[in-house]
Amino acid sequence: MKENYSFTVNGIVRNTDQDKPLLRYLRDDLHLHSVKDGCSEGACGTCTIIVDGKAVKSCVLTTKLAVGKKIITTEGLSDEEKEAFVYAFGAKGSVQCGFCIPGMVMAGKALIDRVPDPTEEEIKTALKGNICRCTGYKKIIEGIQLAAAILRGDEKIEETLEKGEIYGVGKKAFRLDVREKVLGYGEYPDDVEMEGMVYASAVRSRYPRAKILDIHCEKALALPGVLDVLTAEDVPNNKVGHLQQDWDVMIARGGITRCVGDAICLVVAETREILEKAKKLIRIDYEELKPVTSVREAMAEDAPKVHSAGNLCQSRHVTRGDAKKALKNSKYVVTRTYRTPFTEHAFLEPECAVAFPYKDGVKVLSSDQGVYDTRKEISIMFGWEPERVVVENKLVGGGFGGKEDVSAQHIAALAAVKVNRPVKVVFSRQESINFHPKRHAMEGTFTLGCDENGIFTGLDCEIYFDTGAYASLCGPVLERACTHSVGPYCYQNTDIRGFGYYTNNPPAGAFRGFGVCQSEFALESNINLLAEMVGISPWEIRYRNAIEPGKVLPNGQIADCSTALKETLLAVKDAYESNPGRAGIACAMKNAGVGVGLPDKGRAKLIVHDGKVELYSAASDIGQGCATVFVQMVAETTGLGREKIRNMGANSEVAPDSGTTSGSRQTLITGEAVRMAASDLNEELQKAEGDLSKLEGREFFAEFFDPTDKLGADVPYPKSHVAYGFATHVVILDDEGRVKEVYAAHDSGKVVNPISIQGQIEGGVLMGLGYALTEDFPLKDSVPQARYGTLGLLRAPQIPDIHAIYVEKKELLPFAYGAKGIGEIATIPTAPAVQGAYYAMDHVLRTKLPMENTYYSKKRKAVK
Amino acid sequence: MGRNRKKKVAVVQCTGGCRRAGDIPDPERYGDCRQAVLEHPEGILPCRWGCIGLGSCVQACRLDAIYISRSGSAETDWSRCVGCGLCVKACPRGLIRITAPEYPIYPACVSEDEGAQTRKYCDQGCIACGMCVKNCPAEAIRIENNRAVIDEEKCIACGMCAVKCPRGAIRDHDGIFTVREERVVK
Repeated sequence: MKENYSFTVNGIVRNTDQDKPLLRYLRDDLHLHSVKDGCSEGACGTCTIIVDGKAVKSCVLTTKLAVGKKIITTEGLSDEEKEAFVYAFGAKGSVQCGFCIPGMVMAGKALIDRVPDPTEEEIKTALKGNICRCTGYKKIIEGIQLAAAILRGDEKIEETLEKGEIYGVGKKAFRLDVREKVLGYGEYPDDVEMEGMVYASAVRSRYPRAKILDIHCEKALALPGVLDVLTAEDVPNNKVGHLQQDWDVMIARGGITRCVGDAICLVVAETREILEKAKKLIRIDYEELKPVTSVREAMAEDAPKVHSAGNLCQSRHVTRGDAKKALKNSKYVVTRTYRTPFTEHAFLEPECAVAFPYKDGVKVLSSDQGVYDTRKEISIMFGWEPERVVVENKLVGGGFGGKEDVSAQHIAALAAVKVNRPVKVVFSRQESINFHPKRHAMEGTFTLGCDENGIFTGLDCEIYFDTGAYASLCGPVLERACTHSVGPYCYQNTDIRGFGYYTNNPPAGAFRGFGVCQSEFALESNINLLAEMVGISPWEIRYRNAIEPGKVLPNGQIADCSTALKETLLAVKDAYESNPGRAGIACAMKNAGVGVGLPDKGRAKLIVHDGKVELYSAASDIGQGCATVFVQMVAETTGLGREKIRNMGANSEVAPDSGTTSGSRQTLITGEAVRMAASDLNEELQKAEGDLSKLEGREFFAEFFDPTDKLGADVPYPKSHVAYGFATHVVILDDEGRVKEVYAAHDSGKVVNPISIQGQIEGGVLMGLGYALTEDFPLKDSVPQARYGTLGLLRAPQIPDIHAIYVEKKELLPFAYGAKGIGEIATIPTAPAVQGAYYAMDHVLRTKLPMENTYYSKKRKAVK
Repeated sequence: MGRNRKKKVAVVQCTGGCRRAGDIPDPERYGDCRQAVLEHPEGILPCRWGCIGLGSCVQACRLDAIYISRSGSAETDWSRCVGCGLCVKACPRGLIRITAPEYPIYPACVSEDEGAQTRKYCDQGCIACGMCVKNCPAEAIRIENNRAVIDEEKCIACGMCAVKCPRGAIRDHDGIFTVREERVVK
């Protein structure tokens, strides 16, 4: 006789005879999609629900253990609670990518039910099992506090805020996606269900480097419910890759694997359960080979070639003036070698895509940073015209650079075309960790000189990047590491050599900061040593050298009128100087826009339809909030309210290509295109005396392109990028060496959304703190050792007080209302500022990340 | 601001798994645990680590926050417990630990005997199989002297160890992941 497990879900008695994780029951059987599957290991908290009044992870609890219990998911909140959380999370800016949010709401509710007026400490404790990678937790904590106050009756919901009649640039805009993300009905790819949908998953290599002798699929194929098992032979063109097509879709029989993430075959089955069973029936015969585990090994003359053309993937030489001479004649010179680790993006939403046959090709519902990039990679794989592939983004649960390459999309498309059914591919958390490109591990030697007054004279450096098994974005990332290794200063002698090597480690590619986190950590640490030799403070040496409008950056670009690095330095001066012996400081610059001579274009199309302005622009909102920013730009230009404007999302079939969400470019590049289109619309609107209905059916298209000079261009003052953002961070330690406070002052031009920018800064800072102190990605013979819960991601109880400061200048760039990007720069100066704070405390220069011998490293070690 | 609601609570690290049915002391038999341990150097129960159930802790508690459950071992009631530590002092076995209510998941066994030995006399004792270590997402649990130990600095109280423990030796005080022995109403 079958068992019967009975419990109550959102007030309804439910029965099942299957013993399985409650998460799967809630999502698959009851279709309660607010319960997100972020890891299925108990580590991330996205599946948090309330069981008998306690916040519980539904992936840990099982249907059997749930017998007799009362379960509530976000769908089961009362209307009053729903409204309180939607308003509070919107007003406080708690929502970015949104994947962690329903779990946060449930953890918050469980606490509020117990303690109606929770303190900040109590909220942090209640959230200790819930990871957020976007916000830095502060905004979520504030959101829960406000929700509690509303539910107590101490605060009121201001309905006008969500309506957004006033929604222009600089206004407190309630993000477009708050409601769907807080209540959990917004769709990420994994929430998509289609008639006849089947599942596919890759069997991946057991070894980082091994020859595939044979693949035995017979047993799996014989299993009822298995539709097909695809191998490399089934792929029309077995290569993909964001820029360089060096990435095998699957490793063929006789081929050699390059990392443990490599797919060997792709199983397609009717259900998830059958799929898992079938994958276990696949047998692969390997001949294990010794992997290339480091840049040093890759450089060796007799090293095995990871790719046939050799192990050097990319190199760059950035030079200006005469660094050798300048350093020789410098009063003070410092040379140090720095090492930084691979870092995992750890976005909360693992890769997922749903693909189905569509017109004469295939359509992919995706979660990525550029639908046109994904379209291009997939069409290369099929050998098709790109138009036959349509890619539409659903909600994106975080990217940070890690979703620029295809991961699940192309294999879903391949399977969908093969079995002629809709196919969902969803990565397990470990698969995600093993597969997608990381932040490059770096080893770099930096020599920086200055004169007797601390004025920098020249920089010589050599940077080695481990790009792992595939190129991904090695070229541009390495290039940004090189071009930005100079820092936001004014000297003119540089000699920078960068090399990216293939190894059998997991691939490395784009990650918020794009190479600059590594090189500026090294440079800023050297600067502190020079300051000491000159006998001035780390603040002073930076101020003396700081770039300002009209001066020339080390790359030759003349700093534009909006440049406000000095303003950011002044904004943190008091905080820095009032904490002697425990404060560290660092500056950074980061380009907005791809630049370096590339055709980096923003495009937008506005269509007046049904009395509303529909905005079409394929620019991925990965949680940072650009979709809202664009609507604000339309609102600012036309004076229309939010309810008159609809952002139609990123869909390659209907929205023009507006480039990748990368290089902090969307607010500026796409933002300006949107502003231009809106301006044309507004002209017509004025002619129509403000009557939008008279413009019904009209289209307004705009393309923005501000040309730049390519690297090494033979012009006296090459313009490398459309704009640069600048920042200064100050990190303050407490007596135990814990980070107590961070002051993060940013120049990102005009602030479009003041709530959102704070969340971007706070989240960026916390990511930088993790990079500095706790996050690591250990490898053992090229095999990742970390699981989601052991990556060292900072949790809510560990966060310091982060003060997000933005300086807004009167002089602005003439684009996008003067906005520059904020996406990446917030993560860059934090690690060197932490380094500086520890150096101020104990005079030990920590040249390796995560830093050793800190409060945090001791905590980690103590329990091992 | 300024409010201090950092509540502390006690947990008893034994489920009384070595007792046989009918061997449960009733309140009339409550006595002095320490005295009993001294008087019976050869042992009282098959397990020399666990709770002997004579209720010294119950007598020490001023808030009626600890009781002898139906399984014969002591159990705390967090709705009353304030974590004062009197029971900790009263227990001759050192079974009671002070923790915070946000860590309801705890290994309820302190036996340092080999797994095979523990298995002989107790159906709930920790046998140091390491299943919890393997499944903990936070690397917060380790085996030390043949028993599971949780590091609360790292623990996120997800309950995975309690669910995966084949012996039921890791308990959830909230009674969600594992069954809780409620107080028998007198």
